[in-house]
Amino acid sequence: MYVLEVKDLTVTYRNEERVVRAVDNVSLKIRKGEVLSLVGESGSGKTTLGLAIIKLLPPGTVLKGSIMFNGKDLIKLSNDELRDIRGNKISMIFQEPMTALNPAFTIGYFMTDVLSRKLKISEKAAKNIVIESLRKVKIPDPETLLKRYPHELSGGMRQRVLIALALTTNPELLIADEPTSALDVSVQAQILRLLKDLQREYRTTTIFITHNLGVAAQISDRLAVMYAGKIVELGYVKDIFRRPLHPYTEALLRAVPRLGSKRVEIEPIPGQVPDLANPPKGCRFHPRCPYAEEICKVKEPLLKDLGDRHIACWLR
Amino acid sequence: MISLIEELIERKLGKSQVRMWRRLRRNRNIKVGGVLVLGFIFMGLLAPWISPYDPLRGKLIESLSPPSWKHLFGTDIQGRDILSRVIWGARTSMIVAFFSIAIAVTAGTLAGSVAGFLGGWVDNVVSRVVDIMLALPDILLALFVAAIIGPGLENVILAIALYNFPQFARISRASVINIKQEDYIEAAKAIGERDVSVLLRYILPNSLAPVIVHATLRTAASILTAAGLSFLGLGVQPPTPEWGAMLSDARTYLVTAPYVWIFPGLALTLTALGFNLLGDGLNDVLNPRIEV
Repeated sequence: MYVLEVKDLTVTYRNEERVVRAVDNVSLKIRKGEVLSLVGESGSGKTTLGLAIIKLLPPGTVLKGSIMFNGKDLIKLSNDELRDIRGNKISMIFQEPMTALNPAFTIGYFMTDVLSRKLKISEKAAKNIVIESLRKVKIPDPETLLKRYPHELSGGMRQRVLIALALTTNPELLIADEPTSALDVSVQAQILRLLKDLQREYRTTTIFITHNLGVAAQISDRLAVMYAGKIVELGYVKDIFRRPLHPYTEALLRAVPRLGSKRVEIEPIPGQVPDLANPPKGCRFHPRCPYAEEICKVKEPLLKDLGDRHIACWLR
Repeated sequence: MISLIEELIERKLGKSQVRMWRRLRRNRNIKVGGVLVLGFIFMGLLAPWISPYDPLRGKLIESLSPPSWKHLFGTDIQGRDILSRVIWGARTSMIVAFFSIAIAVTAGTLAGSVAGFLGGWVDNVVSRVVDIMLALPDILLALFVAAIIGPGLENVILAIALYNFPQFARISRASVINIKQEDYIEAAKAIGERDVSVLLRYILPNSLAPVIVHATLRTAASILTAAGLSFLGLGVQPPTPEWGAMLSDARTYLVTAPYVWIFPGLALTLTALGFNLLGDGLNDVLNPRIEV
């Protein structure tokens, strides 16, 4: 069963008269109850892909292809229909918990107000759901927290509040865009553990966007590696970590320091992420690829289905 | 007694409101300005009960009598008690200030925030109108309006509201544009908030601090302008007690009967000072980032 099916999705936007294809012909199916991580360097299009799913991109962005959710194509929905889905069936958690909460109101007033309007229920009923939801994210004394303003809370606390808010409506899909990247390392671990526990308990289908392979390995079932707007490798986390097939994935894994490994040096990937307004011909990774052959420079490899694994490379 | 009241207030408020209340109280500008402003507000509210004489009727035999126990501030040319007229004048000034600023803030914030929020041609139209209005000197604009629609209390209020309007429009527009880029606005869209909700529940409450500060500061200027218009005969009409008009009447006796202008002048200065101090203090507390 798939919750979300992205098919041939291309996202283009204009940046100072240059046309940038941030996501290029991406197809992706997300299974019910799984956590799928989108991994890649900055500029690989992972966040754009995440935002495209709920159509939260700046005006002037063009979406092509289809995003099927609950039998409807999200690309074709009207703004009103989308608003009903956002924050209800599909929730999002952002990278910056410090600034993602409305500073004008107390946590309690804000969450209750949003929820009661969203679900069209009484403030009192909403408040009960909010308290329950704050308990879920392991906030020890929700009643006291309700009276606090965002600026009185730490980053970790705020991220918990945002996760709680995202979960109040029991979403069918949760998009988490680098939810731990802006936090201290120790808090990062706590939030990650929390997300894992919640995932185990409620089986919320999750798209987890991160640049951190370690984080992705801890939380996800499957991994989609993105490079220059394309998915280059897709498969189970264990398989990919054991034996990466795409040269880019291989290079990424070598660039991560690992505790207890004999290898001391980390190897950076030579070269730079290509300019998406003017991507290289053929395989987009070929200028940085140590195995590149003639065909890689000319023809673009398509994502091949190898059963549990998908890969876009001429050589494997 | 005061500490008891404070304790009661603090018990009523939440934790962070208590902190805000303490910050407000620690600020000396707010303390002094607040006392002055509250003093004049109460003076205006309680005028019928605290003024010793009828401000409109005097005894001509007592014309221009200097301060005495009978008339603490003396009397004017018509023998009217100046203390009573100063007290009733507070009421006139407060009415003008309150209503003109209220109209200017409401209209200005509405126009400015809609312009800032929508951008595009709406923003262009509003901004150009505001630019043109700002290009005219304040007093000239007020004079112009008063001259066209005629003198009188309501018209003074309108004239002053009109010349304050562009300032509030510009301030709230800038504030809204600033806040539009905050993460919590994107987060609001991600949870499916409508544009109206985003504007009313997310942008407006967070953009009000500079507007409140400016409103307090403009109150002082508005009271002075109202007095100025009355001084020139374009404002509130006699016999209504008004500080500016009182000053105007006193021109003839500047030297011979200085008490006729000293007391209304003092009242005017202290009120303006009070609002300015309060505005500065609020600025320190509400916009701590621009505190030097």
